[in-house]
Amino acid sequence: MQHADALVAILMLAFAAAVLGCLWRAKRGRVPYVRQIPGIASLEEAVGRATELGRPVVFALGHSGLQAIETHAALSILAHVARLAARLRTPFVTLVSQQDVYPVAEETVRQAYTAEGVPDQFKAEEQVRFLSDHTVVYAMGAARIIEESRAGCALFFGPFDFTSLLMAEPGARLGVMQIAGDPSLFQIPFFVCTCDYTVIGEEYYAAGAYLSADPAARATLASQDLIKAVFAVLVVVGTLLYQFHAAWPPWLHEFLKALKIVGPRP
Amino acid sequence: MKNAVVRLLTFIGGLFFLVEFLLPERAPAWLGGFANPLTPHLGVVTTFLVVVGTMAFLLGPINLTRGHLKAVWRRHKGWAQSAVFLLFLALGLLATALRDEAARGFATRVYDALFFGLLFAFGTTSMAILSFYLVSAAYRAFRVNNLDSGIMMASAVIVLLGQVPLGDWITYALPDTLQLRSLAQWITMVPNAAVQRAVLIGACGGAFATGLRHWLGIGTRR
Repeated sequence: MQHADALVAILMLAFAAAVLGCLWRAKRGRVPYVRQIPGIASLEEAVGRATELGRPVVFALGHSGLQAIETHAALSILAHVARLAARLRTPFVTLVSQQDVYPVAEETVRQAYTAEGVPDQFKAEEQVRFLSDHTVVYAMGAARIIEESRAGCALFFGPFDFTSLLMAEPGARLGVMQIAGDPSLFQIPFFVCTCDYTVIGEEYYAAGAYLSADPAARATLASQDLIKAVFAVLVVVGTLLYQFHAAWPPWLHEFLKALKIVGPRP
Repeated sequence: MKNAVVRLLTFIGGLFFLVEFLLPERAPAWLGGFANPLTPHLGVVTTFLVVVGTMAFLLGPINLTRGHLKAVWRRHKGWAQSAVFLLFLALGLLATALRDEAARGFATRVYDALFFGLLFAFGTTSMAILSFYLVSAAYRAFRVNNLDSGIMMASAVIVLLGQVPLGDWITYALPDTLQLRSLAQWITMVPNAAVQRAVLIGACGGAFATGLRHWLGIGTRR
């Protein structure tokens, strides 16, 4: 089994302290300014446009299972979009490719409709659809639904694979407003080409807190910047140490060796 | 009440995995040298997660089958494809349940025809034509309409040409650093790698903060 070494443990505790520190400041009323994330802020515009056109909102979840944190970030966005669709009485379809995510997605959309006071309008088997756990079949199914239902907007959130272009290209060809979010970088170029807005990297994880009504959750976004600052300092310090490693005093080498940052002296 | 129980279970589960990971496999000798007390239970907890996940295993296919049944029953658009799906689902289930590798009976032959004759062949064919579809879709979708997409197109052309003999042939007379192969390598190893690592570091911080938020139940009420 894998266990944290001293450096990883120290970093994890420091990062946890940063998140909890931001939370504590928020509880005392100091909520930091959160910049606008265009891809997330435009979700309302996308659902609004689908409502005006009288066409459905299609939300495709990525290929990660329930144990992946990417899935939970996508479900947070799904909850927000489902509430918007329920509020505006816009037809809403969620596409799922993982069996274990299916019941959670269904419950998320059900809760959104209940929260908006229209639980009777939620039709589970029509609005939350499992297509396939085979990625090509899923992509083909999603493309077909976007094309045949003449979607008002199409949203793709979660980790996707080489089939991302297959899913997003029909919508781009038909002029459907599309927003995509993928935590990994490999499919981003395809989404950039085919979607109106793309949510990348940390923005993807920030979306859940950004959309949350809880100020404490929004406050923890500042901790992401603190974590990045720690990494930036580590990169600079590591580069300097590497450049001048010949001049290190012996105690510094022994200390870093004990933390498993460096190996034996060359 | 239900919400509180779910949050408590989430917290206890997360705490178990976190403490198990943070504690070393064996404590240093000056601390007594005891083994990690949680590691022996890791297998049991992981098996519990698999069991819970298995409970949801059939829900997806059931939803799929119900949707197609309804499409056939109400003669929705494309109901014929739904009927084909249901037919092959029934055939696949029966052939898998009844097949006997040793006897090589009718069910085994149906199974082989379905999986190796049809599914395998369809899968490899669709994968083979996928690359052509991707190229054509990329051509249709990509438009050089601003500076960003122009830079992206220029780098893509350099990297593509730098990987093939044509690129070498075009620039073989130039100094080594100006040849397409060197430029492609520089684009891949320097700006591309730097940006990828920067985004990855940001995403790692985001994943950590999101994990902690979900673990502590902050802002996750939907």
